[in-house]
Amino acid sequence: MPANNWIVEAYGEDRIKHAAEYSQELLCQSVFSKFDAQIQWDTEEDLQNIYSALEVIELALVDAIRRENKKLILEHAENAFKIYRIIALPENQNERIKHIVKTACFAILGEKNADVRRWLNENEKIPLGSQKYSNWAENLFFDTAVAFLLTVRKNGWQDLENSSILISNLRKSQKKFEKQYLKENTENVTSAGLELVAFYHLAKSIDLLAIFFRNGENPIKTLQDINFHLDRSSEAIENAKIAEMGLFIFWIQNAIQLMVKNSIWWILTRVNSNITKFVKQLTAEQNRKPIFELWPPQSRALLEEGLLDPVRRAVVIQMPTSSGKTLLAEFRILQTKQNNPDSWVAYIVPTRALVNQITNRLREDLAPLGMIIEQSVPAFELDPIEEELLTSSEAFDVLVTTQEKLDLLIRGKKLKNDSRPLGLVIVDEAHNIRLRERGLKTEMLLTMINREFANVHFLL
Amino acid sequence: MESMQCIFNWELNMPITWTAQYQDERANIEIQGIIIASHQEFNGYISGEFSEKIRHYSGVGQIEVCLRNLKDTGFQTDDLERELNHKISKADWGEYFAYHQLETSFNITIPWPSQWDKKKNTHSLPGADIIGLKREDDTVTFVFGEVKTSEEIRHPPQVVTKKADGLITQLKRFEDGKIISNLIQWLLIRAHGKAWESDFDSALRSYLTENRLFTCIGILVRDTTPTPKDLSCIPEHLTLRCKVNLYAFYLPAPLHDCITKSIPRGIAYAGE
Repeated sequence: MPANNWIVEAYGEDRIKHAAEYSQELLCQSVFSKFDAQIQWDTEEDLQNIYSALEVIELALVDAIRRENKKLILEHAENAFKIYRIIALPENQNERIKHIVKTACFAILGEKNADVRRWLNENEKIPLGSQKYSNWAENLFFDTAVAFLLTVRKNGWQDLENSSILISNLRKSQKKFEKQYLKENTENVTSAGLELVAFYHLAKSIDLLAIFFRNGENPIKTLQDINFHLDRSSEAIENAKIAEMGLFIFWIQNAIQLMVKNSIWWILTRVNSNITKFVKQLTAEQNRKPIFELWPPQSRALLEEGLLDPVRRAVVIQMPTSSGKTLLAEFRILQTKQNNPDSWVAYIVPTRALVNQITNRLREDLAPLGMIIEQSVPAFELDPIEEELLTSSEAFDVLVTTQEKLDLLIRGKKLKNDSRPLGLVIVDEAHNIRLRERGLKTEMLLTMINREFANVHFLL
Repeated sequence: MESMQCIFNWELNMPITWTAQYQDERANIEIQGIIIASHQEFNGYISGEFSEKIRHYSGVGQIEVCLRNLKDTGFQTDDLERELNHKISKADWGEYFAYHQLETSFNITIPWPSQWDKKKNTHSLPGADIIGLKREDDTVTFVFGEVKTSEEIRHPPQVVTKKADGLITQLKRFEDGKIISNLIQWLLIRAHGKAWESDFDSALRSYLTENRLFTCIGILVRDTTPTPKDLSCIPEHLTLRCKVNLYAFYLPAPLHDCITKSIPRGIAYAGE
């Protein structure tokens, strides 16, 4: 097999880089207008160069998938997503849905899940409703594609339920339309029939995915079942000998497998009972913004970096702002409480405003699981009520405070390690440790905690 | 018409002996009319080796495999089981015949015998009858092409000139880079672990480095008297930049007889 990334090298790395940068630039230019606003190309030649580069990127992505090269899959899929986002959506109904599905698949493979969900929400031209169809194959193709997009968008339970409803309606419609369609295609009945078989299996796998996101039952068995139907779909479309639909199914197949593995159920249900309860709550129907999948950096932290590994005493998470560090902290809190129910957790944040914000978030998420979250706001002295709160044996499970206040509490011997061990210290915005004065204080506090409290764990 | 030397590769293990009846060359387009030398040899070939090849190209047995687990999807299987069967049409037979000649006499591998060229509502991009890899000296290139089969006593036959789906129209479609790109992507997906994977990689490298290099082939399968008129109208309509090979294969027996003699057990002839 030739070297990794040989397709891009044969075509010209510079040309690909230029196309990706140019697309990004155009996207930035249009960012303040509507998402589906027509991109203004500088010249027709620019447009042709972009299409040419896109052809090569897609080929390179297929090659990376066949080599199972994660780094290149990520790179090419991200570039393909960048370019697809700026290409105008086709007017034709079937072409448009194909374009949208491919865009979504590239986003998932390129770990741009949040971007594509926003894109699906904000782009008015995405036809997530019922359409008029000229025959059964078109109906089946279109509704299966929409059902898939609903599982990508996941705007609460409604999208997932609608996805299953679409598939269920297709099953009901089959009896009515399939026979007529096969009659109309007697000349190519084998190909036409096998194409339907491919889409029936694809529809089934999407249905399984939508159900799995809702109930999370038996993740391994579910993935096996999904893969079984995806393989049958692939087999049928190969025998139907329709390259275009074969490619369409290929992209969906790869995206679906990743979606299962990024689901919150796949990653967390087997960790411990505390976390299972929490996951059920996060995905619950009554939850205003249910979380069905984790962002790729969160998945990596949990699956590959051993965030929940009880042996690791200190874990440092380096993630961009708003990429979900608080949720990871919550998982770690639950893990700590599972291992030692009597322990308590110190959650250090840099400002008073953040004390309130984090306390509210933790209360919202963890109080339903019976946890008590308290806050201790910055002040030079403790008031009697606060003192009683902190020294009571069953006072709280998590204390949200600033580093200065925690320092005061520890030095004042208000928080002792004898009856209630400190199990975990979480330092939010830990990158501030680099700041001269404040960073030094943080470092000194952590050193003191490490000395005073045996077996304490750290999450920075 | 005087016999001429054929330009295809005689060194290969050809199951039957062909002779070039006529040939022509115009710019990037080469034309050949090819006849079979021995009737006896041909009869043995179509009822023996070629009959087995039909089984391979048509993918017999695959339908049952594909239908086997359909019940698990919750969709009905009755109508599909009834309607899907192994029938081959005249056009299918012509394609299988062309594949085998390309594989045995022209050093072309056909990794994915394809027969779909009917554009439907859900497909915007048609496929190609021929998707192949051609080895010449040390280089490998992609081959894309179309096959037409006709018994019509008219020169050229309508399958060549028909506006909607004639040979000229279908070859012209390869001017659209999107069609080729889709087909290459699909082959790339299938290539992993196959015997033709390294040839595919070489062809893709040539395609990328040499400004989308590929070879286009148009094949006409006939059972009429050989005449250059069958293909001579094509060059004036084609503006493809790539190399184009046009071949007319003249069968030594009526097409219908050839088909009935060669169809293996378990596969039915669908007629026209």
